[in-house]
Amino acid sequence: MIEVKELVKNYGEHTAVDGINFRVRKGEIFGFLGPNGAGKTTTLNILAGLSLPSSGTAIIAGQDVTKHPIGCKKRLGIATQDSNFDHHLNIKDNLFYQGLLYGLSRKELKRRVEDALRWAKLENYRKKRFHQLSGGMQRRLVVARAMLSDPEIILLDEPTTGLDPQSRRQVWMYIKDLKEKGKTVLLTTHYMEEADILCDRISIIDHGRIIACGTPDELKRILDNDILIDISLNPEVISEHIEKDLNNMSGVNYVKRSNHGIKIGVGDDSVVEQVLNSIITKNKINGINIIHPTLEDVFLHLTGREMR
Amino acid sequence: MNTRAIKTVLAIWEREMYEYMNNLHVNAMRLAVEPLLFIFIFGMGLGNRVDMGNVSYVEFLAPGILFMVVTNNSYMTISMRLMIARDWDKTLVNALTAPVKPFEIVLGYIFAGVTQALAASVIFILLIYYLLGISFGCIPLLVLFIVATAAFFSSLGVAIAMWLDNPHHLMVVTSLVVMPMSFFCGIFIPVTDLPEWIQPVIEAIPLTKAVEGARAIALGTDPYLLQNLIYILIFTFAVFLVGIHIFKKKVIT
Ligand SMILES: Nc1ncnc2c1ncn2[C@@H]1O[C@H](COP(=O)(O)OP(=O)(O)OP(=O)(O)O)[C@@H](O)[C@H]1O
Ligand SMILES: [Mg+2]
Repeated sequence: MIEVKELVKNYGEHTAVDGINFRVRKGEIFGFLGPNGAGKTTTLNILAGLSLPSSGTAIIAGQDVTKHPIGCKKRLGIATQDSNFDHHLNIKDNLFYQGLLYGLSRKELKRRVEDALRWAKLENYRKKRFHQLSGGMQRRLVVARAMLSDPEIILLDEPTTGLDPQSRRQVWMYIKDLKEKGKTVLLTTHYMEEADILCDRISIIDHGRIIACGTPDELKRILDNDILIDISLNPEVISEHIEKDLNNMSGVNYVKRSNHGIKIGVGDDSVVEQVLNSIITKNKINGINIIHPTLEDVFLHLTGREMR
Repeated sequence: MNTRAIKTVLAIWEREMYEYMNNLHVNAMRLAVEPLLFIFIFGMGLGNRVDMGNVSYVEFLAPGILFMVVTNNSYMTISMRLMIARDWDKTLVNALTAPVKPFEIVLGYIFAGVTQALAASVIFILLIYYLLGISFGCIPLLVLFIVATAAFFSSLGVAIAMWLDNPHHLMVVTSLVVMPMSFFCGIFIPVTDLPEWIQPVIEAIPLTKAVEGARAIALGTDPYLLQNLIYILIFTFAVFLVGIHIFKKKVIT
């Protein structure tokens, strides 16, 4: 549905997007994961015709965005990072005047505005101004507005930034619903958890470059060790002997002493059991922590720094 | 233009007119009160001391003030609204995510400016006619001048609002460039009464052509109506192109 090749965007001396390539398949939720200033919004703006690439191509449903902007925009709905609502109009009229730009008949448009409000569960707020809604309601409305023209592709720029966990989860439900409706979704986020839960595939983007791309599981497999077992126990009882035993166990990637005990990196869950059995039976344990890798670790591994 | 383009222009126009009608009480105040103040203070107060030959000063002034009305109701509203749409609620960005072309959006704003100027002109003409018994001559001909001048000042509003990034700067430009224009372009005093060196400059401004045209229509004097009209339209087209150019540069980064 979307195909981006060697896309570059320069702002003067600064390169915001530095030769990225990716492809979004029909019907999937594709995530753009990256820290502030990574180039996520810039890329989305180019796809939405709000910005012109310095070089490279972006193709939407077979059409080049710079050569056929109208054709591309017809297939696209975007929820921009800024909410962009007219302060002088209530939310219903805001949707109406935006929809008017899609050349729908008035009757059809009015029906769609009602549908959109109902979908976002805001039909009782139709007379309210945008700023009178809660943060969660606002984001729902922004997504609903992107759906007004019933586009095949929906771009969501940070749909949950600034929301509390509960509202965030709610917005996730709406995004999953888009997928169920058969839409192709490209979203950006800097929440690892969000990308992990929502997205079929993720591109990790940093300094305008895609540094990794794949399903969440594929990305986590980039790490040498899958699972970290962090055991607290009296360090004195850890003999060379125990360490050696663990190191010889198949599936164990490394064993490290930490200041409160020992850290063991293992390949998969079956090994976890073996390791625990061998240690628990022989020692007094203060605590055990089993940590599955997160995309945070992947980011750390790839860039050598934390995302925020 | 295809139907999609026409629908876009009309959609923008409709939104702007909705805003205008929603604020009708404020707009009406400005439409009716401001020009009438000028007519009463300058025309009737000061005017008694002015000798214009065979017409009274009010009769001389009325066509000029009419074009002050046209200027204010096209340039001011359009430049303010566009700046709000770009910087304040940022709805301009939104409009551009729809399948539309920038020039269609600009055209929609200009149509709204022309409509508003036309409505204000009609109210002004009627008020002056019924209050003072002054008529403006051939109305259809006058309307052509009003539309052309409003299109010029709406385009100027687009170009200046898009060029400037700061509402304060917009106010400064308005009060230093657009307001003096109305003082010098023959509205209050004939251009021939200005110092000789500045006359060619003032004559070159489209507003002067419009004011002289309107005065000719009302008083039945000057024969260069068609030339004046074409002159205004050429300027309008040029400023329109400049406006679109700046618009694209500023909005599509
Ligand atoms: N209009 C602009 N002019 C100049 N530089 C810009 C412009 N827009 C973005 N940039 C720069 O380009 C880089 C990428 O910005 P972009 O907005 O794409 O990042 P982002 O990944 O969306 O970040 P965030 O998570 O903060 O939204 C940043 O360094 C930013 O300063
Ligand atoms: Mg962004």
